[in-house]
Order: sequence, then structure tokens, then C-alpha cells
Amino acid sequence: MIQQNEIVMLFLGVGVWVFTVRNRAGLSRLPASMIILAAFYVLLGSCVVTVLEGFFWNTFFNLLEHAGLAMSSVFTAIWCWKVFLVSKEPR
Amino acid sequence: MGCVAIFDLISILAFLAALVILVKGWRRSFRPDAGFLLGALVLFSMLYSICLFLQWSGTTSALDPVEDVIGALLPMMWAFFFYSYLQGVLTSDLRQSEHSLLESERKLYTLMGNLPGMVYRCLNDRNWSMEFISQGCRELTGYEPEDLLQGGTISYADLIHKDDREAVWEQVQENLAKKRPFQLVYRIATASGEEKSVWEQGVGVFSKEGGLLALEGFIADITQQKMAQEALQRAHDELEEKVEERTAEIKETYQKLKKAYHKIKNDQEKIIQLERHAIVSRITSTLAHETRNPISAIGGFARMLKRKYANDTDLSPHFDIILEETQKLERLIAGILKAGHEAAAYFQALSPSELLDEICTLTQEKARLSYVKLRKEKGPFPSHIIADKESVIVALKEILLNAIEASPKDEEVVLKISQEEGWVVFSVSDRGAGIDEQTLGRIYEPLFSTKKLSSGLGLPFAKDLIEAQNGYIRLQTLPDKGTTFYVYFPAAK
Repeated sequence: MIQQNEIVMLFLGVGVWVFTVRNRAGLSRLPASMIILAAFYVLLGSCVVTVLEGFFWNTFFNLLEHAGLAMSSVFTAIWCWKVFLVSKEPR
Repeated sequence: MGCVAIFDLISILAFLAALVILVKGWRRSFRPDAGFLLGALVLFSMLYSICLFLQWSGTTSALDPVEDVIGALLPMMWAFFFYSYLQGVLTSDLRQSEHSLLESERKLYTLMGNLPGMVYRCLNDRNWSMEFISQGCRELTGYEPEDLLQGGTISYADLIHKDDREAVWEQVQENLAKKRPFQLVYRIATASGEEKSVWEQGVGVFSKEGGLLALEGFIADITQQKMAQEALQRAHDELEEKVEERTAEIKETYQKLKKAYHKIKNDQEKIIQLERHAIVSRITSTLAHETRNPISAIGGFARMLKRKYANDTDLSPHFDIILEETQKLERLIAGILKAGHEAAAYFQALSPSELLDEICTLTQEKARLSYVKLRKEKGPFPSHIIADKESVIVALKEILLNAIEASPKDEEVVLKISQEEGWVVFSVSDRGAGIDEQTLGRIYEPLFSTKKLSSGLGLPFAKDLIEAQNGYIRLQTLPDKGTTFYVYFPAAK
């Protein structure tokens, strides 16, 4: 069953994705930008599967949603660790 | 379903770890605003995961609205995070650009301040209204840059020497018209009244449409260089003058040396001539001495034999010839001895006309054999000459014989007598080939002759005889027209 907040979250996420694509050059200057952008894209992916969950394979997509969220959190933690504890590059 | 719980727990723990790392590494601050947003993002993500976990575990359903709100906020927080970071980057870039610009300006000012001259930007008007002047203006002109800027106390045009002002304007306008850089050298008056020479290089600044916006350039003080150049020029001029003086001195010395060399050479030639003359004189004098007595004896015996055989018509003419030739030889010997001052000369008043007749008679036979006519021209002159008769006859005879030999067949040799202020002049003219320049210089040199069968003693002997009579000889010759000898004897008073 589709929920309204999941649709809103998806639309907002797609909007942010467009923003990241348009400002790719600026965002690439983020330290370890691939990791933080991956964290966002995986989160966006979990939003997609959350919506799909309402139509079919709800159990599978639900699992993917939570797995995506977990991956996103791990990427975020790795990025924070890399940027705030390991890296000595200017930020 | 256990997997979902595990994933949620992983999420919670990972976000928690991220949050701890953020707090721990806060001193190595990210951009503050982006850092706060990141912290909030991680916190909200963790809360979202907690909500999901609790929802799954069925502990409570009261957190569903919270989950919905946080779910909607998460993408926006990502957007804010990215946006704030980008803003930070842009601001940083802008600051860096500003810093670079300021640094460039500082460098430019330092550079311009240390230049030995002033950099300017001015309008293209008669005042050269300045829009910008570097600090070098103070040292160059003695004025503060503000004084020369537009609206200042003095215009740059006023500093330019009045004699150079128009030329500067014209040269700049000419170069601007061709849109090419210009270089000028002119004088300016400084604030202290000192005159300086300056070198200027400038260029017109044009708009895209081609309109002239301003002039930009650099002006440097070249007074020292100018003075050095002038000093160098002066030194060069002085050196040239000295070189010219020295050259003139050397030339003068050379001329003197050349003159001295020629004099020495002439003297040497004269000495050689004199020596040769002396030798010839000695030889001829000896010959004259040695032959005088035998000739006298021959003459005496010839006269005796003539008297003895006076009635013999065959022999008598032969004796006459012997006597005549003997007399000729005696006269010649007498002349030689008198020329060498070895015999006493008998000076007496002589009639030039009679002398001329006598000489013609003596040379008549020679002229006839050479097919040359002798023509006498006697002017009416009362003066006699004071000289030794024998010497005069011998000298003139030698000259006349020379003329006959030089004269072509069937031509005339003219003997003429004239008078010039205290002198009686005998002239002998032939119509021969004339005498070339080289021969002319050696004509009175003993033993010199252009003829094959000649002793080269005739003319030197004649000259000596004439000079012994206080007279002198000169000649005039023209190529292919003939030669005239003029013999001067002092006229009797």
C-alpha cells in the first residue's frame, strides 16, 4: 500500500539528485566525495524501492529498503571517519 | 524479518558512530554551517532508523508521524548540506580570488613603486589629464601624485619644456592615429625648477569599437644617461679634433720631410753634376794644355811651308786648309782654358753684329752640308758687349752647331740680335722636334747627349763660357715646333 510520505520523500530525493547532478563539479571538491554521494544515492534507491514495495514483492523490496538504509548509514559513517579522523587534506 | 531488524540496528549503530566521529573530530572542523547540517542529517537519519526499528518490532506505533516528518526532511537535509557546502566552496573561491587580486595589486604597486620612473594613465588632451600616476612621480617630478592627477594643482603638460610641448603632442597624435606605441625623449621642469631629460614609452588604450579611452605608459629619468652621452660626444669631438691636429702635424712633417728629401736629392744631383763637371773640366783642361803647343807648332810649320811653296799652286791651298783648321783648334783650346779660368780673358767692347757675321761664316759650311739655311736678323742697336771675343764666338758657335744638327733639312735656323734693359740678347732658333722634359733637366750636364756621336760637352762648355763673360743662357722649347736659345751678355754702358 502506497503511503503519501513515501511519495513526498521520493520526489524530494529526486529533486536533490538533480541538484547533485547539476552541481557535480562543485560537489566533487568534497573530500572523498564518491563515498558521501554514494550514501545519498543508496538512500535515494531505498526510497524508490519503498514506493515499489506498495505495488509488488513487498517483502523483498522492504528488505531492500532497510538494506539500502543500512548501506547508506555505513557509507556515511565511513565518510565521517575518513574525513574527520583520517584525512589531513583541507576540507 | 530478522534481517530487517539487523539492517535497522546496523543503521542505528553506523549513524551513532558517525555522530561520535563528528563530535570527536569537531576541532578539525568542516565548514561550520555544513558541519552543523551534517550533524543534524546524521542525527535525523539515526532517529529515522530508530523509528523504523521500533515500528518493525511493534513496540509502539506512536512514532509513525515522527517517521513521516523525518522521512520527508531527510532529502531536504541532504540538499541543505550539499548546498551549504557549495556556498562555502564558492565563498572560499571568492575570498581566494580577492586575496589573489589584492596580492597582485600589492605586487603591482610594489613593482611600480620601485621602478626608476613613473607609470601613468592619462587622457588624450592637451593637459595630459592624469587618471593614475605611480609613486615614482615624486622622485621624477618632485610633485606628489595627487598634484598631477585630474583636478590637481598642476597638469603634466605644464611640466613639459615649452619648446618640446608641441613636438610631444604631435608625435603622440601621429602614433595614436596609426594605433602603435610611441617613444619620446623630451625635457621637463621639476618642482624645484631643475630641468630633466625623460624618456617615455606609451600606448593608446582603445575600446572594442576602436575609440580611444586613454593613454598608458611609463616615463623614466634619463638625465644622467643624457649627460653621459653628451660628455661622451664631447670627448669624441675632442678626440677627433686632436686626431685631426695630429694628422695635420704629421702631414706637415711629411711635407717638410718630402721637401727636405727633394732638396737633398737635388743637392746630391748638383753635387754629382759639379763633380762630373770638375772631372770633365780637368780632363779638357789637361787635353788643352797638352795639345796647345803641338798645334801651335803645326800652325807655325804650316805657315813656314806656305811661304816656301808660295808659288806652288797645287800645295798652297792645302797649307791654307791646315792653317785654317789649326786656327780653329787654337781658338777652341783658348776657349777651354778661358772657361776654366786657366787663361786670361781679354774683355773688350765687341759689336754684336760683327760677332754674328763671324759666327755665321764659321758655321756656314756645316749648315750647307746639313741642307739648313742660316738667316740673320739684326736689329738697330747701338750697344756693344763687353766680353772676351774668343769665348763668345766659341760659345755661340757651339749653340748654333747644335741648332743646325737639330733642324730638319731645308729648314731655317734663325740668328737674331735684340736688346733688353742692359742686356744684348743673341737668340738661335731651330724648327726641330723640341726637347722633352726629361732631357731638358739634363741638357747642361757634362757627357749627357741624346745624339750617338756626341761627346756631350758642347752645351755645358758653352754655358761655362757665357757665365765666364758675366752672361747667362736660357731656352724655350715647344714639342714639334722647335727650340730657341737665348744668350744674354751685359751691354756696354
